[in-house]
Amino acid sequence: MCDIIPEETNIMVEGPKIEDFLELGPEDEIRPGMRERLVARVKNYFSGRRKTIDGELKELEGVEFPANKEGHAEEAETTEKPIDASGILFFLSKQKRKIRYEKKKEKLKETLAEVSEEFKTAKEYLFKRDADIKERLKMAGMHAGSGAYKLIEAYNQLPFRYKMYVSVVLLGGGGFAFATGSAAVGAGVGGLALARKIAASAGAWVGTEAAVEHIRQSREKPDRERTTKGAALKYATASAIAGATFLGIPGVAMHEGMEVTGKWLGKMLGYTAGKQWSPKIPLVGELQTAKTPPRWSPKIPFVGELPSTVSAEIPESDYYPETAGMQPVEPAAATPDASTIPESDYYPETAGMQPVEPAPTSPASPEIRERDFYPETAGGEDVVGSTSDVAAAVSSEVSAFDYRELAKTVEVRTGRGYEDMLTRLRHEMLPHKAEILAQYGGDITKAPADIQAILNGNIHALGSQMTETYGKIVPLHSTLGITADGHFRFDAAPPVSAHALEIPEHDAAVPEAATGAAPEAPHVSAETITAHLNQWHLEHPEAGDVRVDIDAEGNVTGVHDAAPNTSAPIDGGEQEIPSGAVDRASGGSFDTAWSPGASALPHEATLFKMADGYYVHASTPGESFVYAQNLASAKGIPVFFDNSGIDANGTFTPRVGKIEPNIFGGARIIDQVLGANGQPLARVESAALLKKIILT
Amino acid sequence: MMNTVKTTQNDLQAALARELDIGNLPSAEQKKVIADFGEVALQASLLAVLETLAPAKREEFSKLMNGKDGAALQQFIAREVPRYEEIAKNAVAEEVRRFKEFQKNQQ
Repeated sequence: MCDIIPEETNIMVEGPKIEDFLELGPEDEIRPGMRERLVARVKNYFSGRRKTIDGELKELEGVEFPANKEGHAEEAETTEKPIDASGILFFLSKQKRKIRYEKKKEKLKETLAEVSEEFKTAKEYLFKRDADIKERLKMAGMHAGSGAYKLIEAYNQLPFRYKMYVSVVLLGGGGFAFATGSAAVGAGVGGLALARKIAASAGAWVGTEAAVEHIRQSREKPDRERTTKGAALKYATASAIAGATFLGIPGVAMHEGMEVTGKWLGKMLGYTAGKQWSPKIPLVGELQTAKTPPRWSPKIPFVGELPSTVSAEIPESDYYPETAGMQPVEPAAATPDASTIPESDYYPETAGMQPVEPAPTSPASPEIRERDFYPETAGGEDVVGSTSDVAAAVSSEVSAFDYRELAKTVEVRTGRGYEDMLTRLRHEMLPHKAEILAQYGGDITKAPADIQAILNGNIHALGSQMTETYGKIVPLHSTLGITADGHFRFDAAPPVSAHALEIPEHDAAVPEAATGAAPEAPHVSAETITAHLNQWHLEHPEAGDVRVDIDAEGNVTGVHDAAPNTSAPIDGGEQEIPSGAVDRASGGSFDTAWSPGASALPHEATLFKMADGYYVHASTPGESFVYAQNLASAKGIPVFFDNSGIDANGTFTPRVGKIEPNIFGGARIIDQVLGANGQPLARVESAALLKKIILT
Repeated sequence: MMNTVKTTQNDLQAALARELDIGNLPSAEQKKVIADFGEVALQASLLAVLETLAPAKREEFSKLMNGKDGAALQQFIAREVPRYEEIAKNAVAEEVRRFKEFQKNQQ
């Protein structure tokens, strides 16, 4: 036995031998050799443990043991008892685990910090973007309760799996390589499998909601009805169907196809499926073949077919079918500077014509006779105007303008109302809300009222606020004054005045009355040239009630009105024209055109180019506005127009309005708004916007 | 069956994550971002379609979306927004571009 247990392998110096601990009993009671084998096994075990402990002890060299928390280490140093291997091992393992844990934790922290930051920023971005688009949807009329709103709500209720499918459809519909290219292959997703998943996504809306609804109804009904064919659609909400349809349009599943995929999805969800639910799910690839069941009609274009059928350039008529066949009008590329726009750009028929030097202006009388403006009243008593009269008249009539009236007209003419323009403006600015607010230290209350209005969605107040702030954003009705020497003067209406003009509820008379005089305005210079607006206007779709014949030389040869008996043949040389007037067919000056004896031609509109814009005068009261608006909207230039009249008391009220082109091209307003704040914040799409909006 | 679905789902998620440059995010966070992005993309495509419609047509569109006649909705879009595919595609592509650009700028 002792031969079997070598001396040097004894781990106990003195004392009982291993055999004593083994409690094997008398040697003769065990099988021969058993004792030896057991002893050898135990000795080997302890030998191995000893080596392990030795190794661990070496590792402990230099390690500062903590205060005698566990007790084992201190005990090992201060007592002569045999080392408590279990205590050391416990400490060692704990210490090593701790070190490893700390290292891992540190590494994890770094990773988490990076990842969390990326996740956080991504989430924040998506949150903001989501809010922006929701706002735009709202502006587009998709309020709570609308189909789009419910669709988004339905999306949010989908499990992630289906949300993911939605993304797949959208990205796949976007022609990304994702759908059929390397990404899918790299992901190990076979084309058919991917197609199937995409197809299923359209049904996800139906299947998911139907399943949920079915469960809900089942709970309500004690005698649970087994779902049958069609139940999926029956239970599906409108949003689910709309979603499936919307997503199915990119060429995946429609109508019956959606139904099938919805059912298939229902099966996936554990939805009770009827026998009639065919396990055979048509795949996208199959739908394109002759195997497609006849009922899958009409044929829906598939993703792969799109590139060949879609033109890169979208004609305007696609957006505005009513413009089909019309010649597109090139919109101004930037904010127009009326003073630098050649007249021929707007009136091709005048190209090559020399500006006509206006006839010398005779010393004008401050008196203006009514018939000068209203030929039909010629012969009647003249109304004498003076600067003070003008001021008084302006103050009394100033509230006659109403931007709503203008808005209404715009809507009729362009199909897009004033509010729509403002909405578009808001759409353009909202994505830049943070940048805009940053200019005001993030405090919206420090922003100008109009910007506040835009960002807060107070569209109704926006018009007046914008006018008040910038003075010329919304249609700005100026006043027409007459100087002592008889010149007309235009007022570039101060904002407060314009504000009052735009909002009839305000006491419009106060601001003007406070000035006590006609507003200052630039003279209409002698360099003014004129051009007939009629020809252009009659070509305009909105000018159906007026037609003016103009010969090759640009002379008016006839004016026709929709109403009979108003057509008046004209012979420019022989037509009796009241003295002092010029034949505007060949040009003239503003002054002479408006001097006593102006043309009595009905429905004639003349465009005057001034240093700071264009001025339109129509011989028929009230028509100037129409002409000017037409011009401003189509050409994107600011246009003044006269809107003089006689009030109920017989007081002549000379007045000039001004239509800014901005009302028709919301993007241009962005330019001005941003310009007023120092730097552009929003990308301007004036050209495209104008092209879409105008009717030419 | 479910294992196959799960595998495909994971593959799709991975592919989407790559498309959106969020492959280094943990899976759970990828899901959240993908879910959020899907909402944004869906809304953007909806908005793009809406903005091509005249106000009166928008109302009709909304009514159809509130109904259960998917075929009618599809026909409406096909009729009123003949280039729906391209419009929606561009809208989603723009969102992807914006998102990627944002991610890139954050780095």
